[in-house]
Formats: sequence, structure tokens, C-alpha cells
Amino acid sequence: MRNTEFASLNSVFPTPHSPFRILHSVIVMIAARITPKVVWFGLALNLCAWLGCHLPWRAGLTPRLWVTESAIRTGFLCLAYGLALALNLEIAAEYRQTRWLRVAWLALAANASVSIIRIVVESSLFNLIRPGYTRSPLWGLLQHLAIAPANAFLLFGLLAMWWAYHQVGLGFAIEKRDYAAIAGILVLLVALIVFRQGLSEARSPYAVSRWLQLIGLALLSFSAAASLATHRMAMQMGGGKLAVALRLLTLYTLLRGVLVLLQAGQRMSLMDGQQASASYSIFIVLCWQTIPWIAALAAAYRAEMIVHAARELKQQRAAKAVLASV
Amino acid sequence: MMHVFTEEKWNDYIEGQIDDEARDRIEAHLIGCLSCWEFYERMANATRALRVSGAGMRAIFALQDQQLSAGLRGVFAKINGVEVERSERVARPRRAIQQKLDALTAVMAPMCGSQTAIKALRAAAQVSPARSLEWVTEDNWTSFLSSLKSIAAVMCGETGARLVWESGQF
Repeated sequence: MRNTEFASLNSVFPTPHSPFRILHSVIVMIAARITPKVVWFGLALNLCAWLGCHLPWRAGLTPRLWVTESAIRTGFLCLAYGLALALNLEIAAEYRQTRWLRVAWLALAANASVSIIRIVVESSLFNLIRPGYTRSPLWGLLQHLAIAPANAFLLFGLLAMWWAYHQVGLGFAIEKRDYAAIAGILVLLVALIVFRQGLSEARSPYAVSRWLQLIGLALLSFSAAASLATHRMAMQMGGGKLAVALRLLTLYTLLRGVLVLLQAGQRMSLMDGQQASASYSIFIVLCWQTIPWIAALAAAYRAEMIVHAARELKQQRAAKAVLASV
Repeated sequence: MMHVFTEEKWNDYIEGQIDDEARDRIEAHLIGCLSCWEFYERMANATRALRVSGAGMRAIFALQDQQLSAGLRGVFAKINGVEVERSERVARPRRAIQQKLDALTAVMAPMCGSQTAIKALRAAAQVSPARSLEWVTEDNWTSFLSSLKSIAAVMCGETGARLVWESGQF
């Protein structure tokens, strides 16, 4: 049933014989099988696999399996963003007439696809080809070349989504405490810019890298502010799958901001050569690995609405057919 | 004319409510006095006629009371019947519309939330000819449903909007 619903993806790839045909089929196939349960399972598997490799080293039982750890991290995070991409495309295809929401979900799909590039370029597996890659300024440059457009797409997607829902005129309103939280986020952004020495690219030889990090942070802060607006909408909806999806999008945006902030604070507070505690480091890594799955979960919950509606439609049409035959 | 007897005595005699001595005296006089006999006869006839017609009139009035009562009962029953029928006629479609609205809320709530569903119904009614949810009727249902479908297309997606449209027509 889900495959027939996802035939709407044809509108994204309108020509049946286009070069994207195979990609289209793959996306339809993937999207047809992703439910929130599958995504939760993927997240659990990702965290367990990484912990399974990392903890024995921390306990002194094995040498550090950094290649395996890195492969797990890169593979699973690419998978998570890949799922998010497929689902976001599927959702965007559903909006044939609602232009702003179509644009919003396409922007989130673009965010996911650029994030895949980011995960690939920041993978420490490249250390196998080019030793010391992850400690080189090139690593930071490539990472931020991906982060800045990814954040721009995220911000644009959230703003387009907010605008689309706002235009319906159902009376969703931002409250005073939201404005206070948005002001707080902007203050934190200003503080980060002022104390930018704590940022990872502060000492990069590439000016582009330094600027891209600041731009990326500004975009992330604005995204966090926009996500608060969508979160308020979710609070006023009174439940439903859409509210869950919007809350997860807020979490996806805010968690990234909070982690950047924590890491910047940690970098400024630790003396040279001093290491953060093992549990804190593990916690931060787990959080970073959770983030792509949150994006996939948000898309999965939203995509589930299509499945739910399609199932209800099918039942209703069957009931109509029975009534007509009586 | 009434000679030695007062009018009261004559009346009592005709009504049969006089003592025996006075009655004997009046009857003894009637035998010998033709004019009093004729007066007595007229009075007695008139009294009889009045009694008969009085009984008839009482019977007629009693019947009219019953008829009036029965008629009034009928009228009130009809008024009540009309009122009940009218309120039924108004309430029955209203109940049907309310059931349809509840069904639409139930369709939308799992997707975009119960509050959104209620707000969407209100907004759709406002932009439809009904202008208010209370005035949504069978006559303006299709235009209301069409407005709701547009809102549902944003809030629930276009598959959800199709579900809302078909549920509204079910």
C-alpha cells in the first residue's frame, strides 16, 4: 500500500525515463519500509555498536578499535541521514499544491544530503589514506564547507514550514516566553562570537574556515529560534503525529546548538593538554550520533501520516463499496 | 289582577312551594274567579316552558363545555405536536451535521492533533458561506468541506486532505 502512496514521488522526478529513474525507484523502495520503529531500532543499533567497540577500550580490555568505531559512526550516520533524505523527499512529493511546505521539506532533504557529505568528509577513516587528516586544518575547512549550507537549508526549511502553517490562520501564536528563549539564543550567539577563541576553527589558517564556522553558528542559532516557533505550534496542536515531527525537528536543531555550546565551553575551560572526563566525552559522542537519527525520526513520524491517511482511505472506500452493494 | 293574593304567594303556588292552607285558599278562589284562573294558566305554562327550555339550554351549555374542552385539548396537542415536530425537524439535521463534524475531528486528530482539528473546522466554516460552525448545514456542507480540505492539505498533507474530503462525503 505504501508503495502506491509513494508513487507521488513521480512529481519530484517527473520524467519516467530521466536519469534519476533508478534513484527514484531506490528512494520509493526505502521510503516504503521506514517506520519510526525502524528508525528507533537503527538508533539503538548504532549506539550499541559504537559502545560495544568503545567501552572495552575504556575498560582496558582491548586496544582502541578506532577504525571500527569510525566505520560504525560514518556508516550509521550516513544511513540515518540517507533515511531522512528519502523520507523528506517522499513528504515533499506529497505536497503537490502546498508550495511552501513542499519547499520546506525539500530544504530539509537538502539539509540531510549535505549532512551526508559532512559525515563523509569529517570521517576519521580518511586517516587511513592521509595520516593526520582529522587534525589538519583541511578537515575543519571541509567540515564547515558542508555545515554552513546544511544549516542554511535547515533554517530555510524551518522558516518555510512556519510560514506555511502560519498562513493557514489557525491562530497558532508565539508566546512571550518563546520570545525570551529566542532572545536567550541570540545572546548566546553573540557571546560565542565574542568568545570565538573557544571555537574549533578559531586557530585555523584558513580565513574561510573561521568565517564559515561563525556563519554556520549564526545560521544554527537562527534555526534554533525558528524551531522554537514550530515547537510552540506543536504545543498548541493537542497531539498528533505532526506535533511529534515538529518537536523532533526542534530537538534536532536545539541539540546541535547545545552540543556546540558545550564543546566551546569545554574547550575554553580546559587547560592545554587537559582531557574531559571519559563519561562526559562518551555522552557528547553519543549525543552527536543521536542527532542524525532525530532528523530521520522527525521525517518518519511525518511520513507515517501519509501511511495512516492512506490506510484510512482504503478502509473507508472498502466500507463504501460494501454499503453500495447492499 | 291577582286579587287577594300577593305575587309572592302566586309564585310559590306555581312553583309548588306553598303550605297546604294557602294552596286550598288559592284553589278555592281559582274555581270561582275566571280572570285569576286564566292568569294562573299563563303563569303555569310560562314556568313550564322556562323549565323545559332551561333544562335544554343547560344540556346544550354542558355539551359545549365538553366540546370546548376537547377542542382546546386538540388545539394544544396540535400546537405541542407542531412544536415537537418543528424542533425535531431542526434538531435532526443538526445532530447529523454534528456527527459529521465529530467524525471529521476524529479523522484529523491523529494526524495534526485535536486542537488543530477543531481550529481547522472553525476556520473552514468561517471562510465558507456558513460563516460559523453553528450555521453549517446540509446546504452549505460541500463548500465547508472544500474549505476544510484546503486547510487539511497543509496540516495533514494531501493524502490526509483526500481522507478528510471523502470522510465528509461518506
